[in-house]
Amino acid sequence: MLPRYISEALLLLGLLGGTFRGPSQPMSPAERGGYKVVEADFHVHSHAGDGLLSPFGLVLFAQRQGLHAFAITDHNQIFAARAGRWFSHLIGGPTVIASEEITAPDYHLIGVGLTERVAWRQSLTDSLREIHRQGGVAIAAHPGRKYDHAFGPAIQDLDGAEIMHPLAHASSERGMDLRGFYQRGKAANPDLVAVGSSDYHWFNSLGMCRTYVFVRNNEQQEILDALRKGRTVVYDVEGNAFGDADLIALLQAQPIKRDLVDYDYSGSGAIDVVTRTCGWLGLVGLVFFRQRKRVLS
Amino acid sequence: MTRTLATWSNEVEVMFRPTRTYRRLAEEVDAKDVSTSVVWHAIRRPLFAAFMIGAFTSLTTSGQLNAFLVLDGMLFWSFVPLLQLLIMACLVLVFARRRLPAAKAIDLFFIGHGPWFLWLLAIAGSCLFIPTKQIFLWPVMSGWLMPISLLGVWAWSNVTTFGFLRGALNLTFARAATALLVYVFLLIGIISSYFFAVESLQLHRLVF
Repeated sequence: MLPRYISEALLLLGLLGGTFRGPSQPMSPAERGGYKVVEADFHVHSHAGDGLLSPFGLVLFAQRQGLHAFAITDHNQIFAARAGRWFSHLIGGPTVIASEEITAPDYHLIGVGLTERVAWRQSLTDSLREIHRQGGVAIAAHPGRKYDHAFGPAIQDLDGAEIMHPLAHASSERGMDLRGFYQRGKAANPDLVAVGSSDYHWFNSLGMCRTYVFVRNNEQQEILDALRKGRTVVYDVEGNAFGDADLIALLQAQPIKRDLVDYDYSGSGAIDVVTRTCGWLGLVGLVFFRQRKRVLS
Repeated sequence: MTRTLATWSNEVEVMFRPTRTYRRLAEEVDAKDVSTSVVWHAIRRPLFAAFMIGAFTSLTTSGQLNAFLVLDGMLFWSFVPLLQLLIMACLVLVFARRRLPAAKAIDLFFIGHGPWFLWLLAIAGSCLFIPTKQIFLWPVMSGWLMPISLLGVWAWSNVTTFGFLRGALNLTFARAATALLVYVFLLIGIISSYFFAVESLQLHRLVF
């Protein structure tokens, strides 16, 4: 049986290792063809909605995941996104873009770069109009055949579509569905931009699917402009690239050194494994074993 | 008379023999608690519950016990143990005012969180030690495993809470059942109300 003090020591070791050994993700965007290549995730949920991390925790975690920009897109609300943006600005973290996932019965729509909440009790056309009125970018969230009847008529007003989403990892059919929507949309709207997002709620998938955005600087307005102009590259599960053909060629000539699908937790060396095991065992010991103590009865 | 206790924690004993263990714990006085302040006696276990949530948050997201992520989880999920504390404190005042000092009652109540800690540790352990593709896809790929395990743990925690009400507060079966129903209704109701109010939870939503 594990004495309690050993549990506490293991926990301390886990905490020290986990706090002071960070991942070795580069923070500065790579440069290709005169652009900075910002790695962004445009679909992230905080615990103010139905996510696990607070907006502040998301900023800290995004740094660990090597993201240079991300959009907090809680369902039908925007206040948490504003808090995340404030905190990231305070600590010099990634660019946080206040956004919203407008969640209606027949469509889910990401509004990136909003100043006010967009109501969900309205048609897709009205939501699109409102996003554009605020200077935002409208992205179809995890679209597919299920949402064709809603998005179809409004495809001309859509700025982008998620072509890559964790659903594509879960099922090849869902991956094909996402790509199919993008290709059908692109045929009707040649300006439709490819977006890859993690739809992060919990566990380690923040930035799992990401968009490479080609910008001059890492400011919000520049990122939104790049989205509108289609200066993005997204890789699907098989590593096929979607987006601007010239930018795809740039990345093919000089790939950014990162696994296309990086499942591992950031930091998977021997020391990291030891410290996380120690931390977990320490918690187990604290919960299941007691100090030897005396009671009066 | 003093005696030295065995190795397993109170949380483990309460998980498997809730009423009997709570009855014993209500009668015992820990030698160390004699000199413990009332405030610390009341908040130490809710704080530990918040710490466990923070640790779970950090382990499942970053794969490490990162102090900043642990603190973030502790702070922003502290409303859960706080809500539990407030609701149970009110119920203790209503149903069993003179049975136990409030601080001790709260302390004992939170000993019943063993099932939740077990669940958090099991999921965190799975995240850490199984192939990572399944980690982030678990909510999507596991089908009904997660909801069923969550329901099972919730039921188990209600059993330990009932044991607290019967064993520690010495309520009759009917009063304990009433208190438990009120507790569950208030806790789920308040949390759900928030999500409906901010429109993050909507009746029409289908969850992936």
